[in-house]
Amino acid sequence: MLGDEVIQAAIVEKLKSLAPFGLVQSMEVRELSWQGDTFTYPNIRVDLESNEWVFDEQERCNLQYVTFSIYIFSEQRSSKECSQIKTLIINALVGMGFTSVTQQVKFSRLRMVDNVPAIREDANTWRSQVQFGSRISNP
Amino acid sequence: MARNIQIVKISDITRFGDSLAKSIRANLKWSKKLRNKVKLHKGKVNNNGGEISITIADGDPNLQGMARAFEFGSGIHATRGTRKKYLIKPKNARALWFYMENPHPKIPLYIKGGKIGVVLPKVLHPGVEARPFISKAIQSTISKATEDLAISVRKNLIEELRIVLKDIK
Repeated sequence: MLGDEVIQAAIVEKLKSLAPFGLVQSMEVRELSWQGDTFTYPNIRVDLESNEWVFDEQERCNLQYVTFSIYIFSEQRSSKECSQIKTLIINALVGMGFTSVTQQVKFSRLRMVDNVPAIREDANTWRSQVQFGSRISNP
Repeated sequence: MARNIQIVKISDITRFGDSLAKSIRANLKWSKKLRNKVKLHKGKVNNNGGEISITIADGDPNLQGMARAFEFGSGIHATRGTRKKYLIKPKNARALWFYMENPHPKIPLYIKGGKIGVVLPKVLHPGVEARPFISKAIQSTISKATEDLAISVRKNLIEELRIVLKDIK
């Protein structure tokens, strides 16, 4: 079974590799509950919501499904930046499969489960969220 | 593999929470301190529904007390518990200092930061009148938000059923 930390690291690695998208390039990408004390905005956070391991009776093999959310936080006055970054991430990931060579995880075609428009989390912060689902395996 | 059916999506529950948070902020026009401390947390969904939380003055006990006092009233204005004046004593200094209009001539005055205030060893505070901002927000939001949520649930249910029926075929 592929562990949570490996899957999360693979997703963070993929997001960091989206360098051609200028906006995402310089951004901080970490897990959602990262316990650091220095934050720069805008930033991207990854939350692995489920990591299910099931036995497929038809195919007679083990399968692993993951659901994860990508959160985008921005401190601009308008929600524009937050939405723009989310759109870039969605366009880069939906329907794509990718393999993390360093983490040895293969994500089959990413499916967008949900798309949450930017909301005001608190007085200074905009937050938007996109939830993905995928089947994962060893490459 | 059995699909996890989600009749409530994170976007539905977040929209619900957002409209409530907006309404709370709108009701707190009179206090910037409290208004800026309204925080909408991330939503969670499971097979039975979903949940989302809103906190006010998270991690700040003084502001939490202020929020509670204005929501339910305090002292002789309390709408919950016993109605009585409460004692305030200095915590970090030898006496309390605050501004008072037309103070009694026997109360000592002291200038602090260019302002004249009275100095007292302790006070019996009458409390504040309730200015409910949470219950008011719930009342004004709940009917519309529930209606929106019901529409979303209906839509999600139809979508899920369509997928399940397609799988059966």
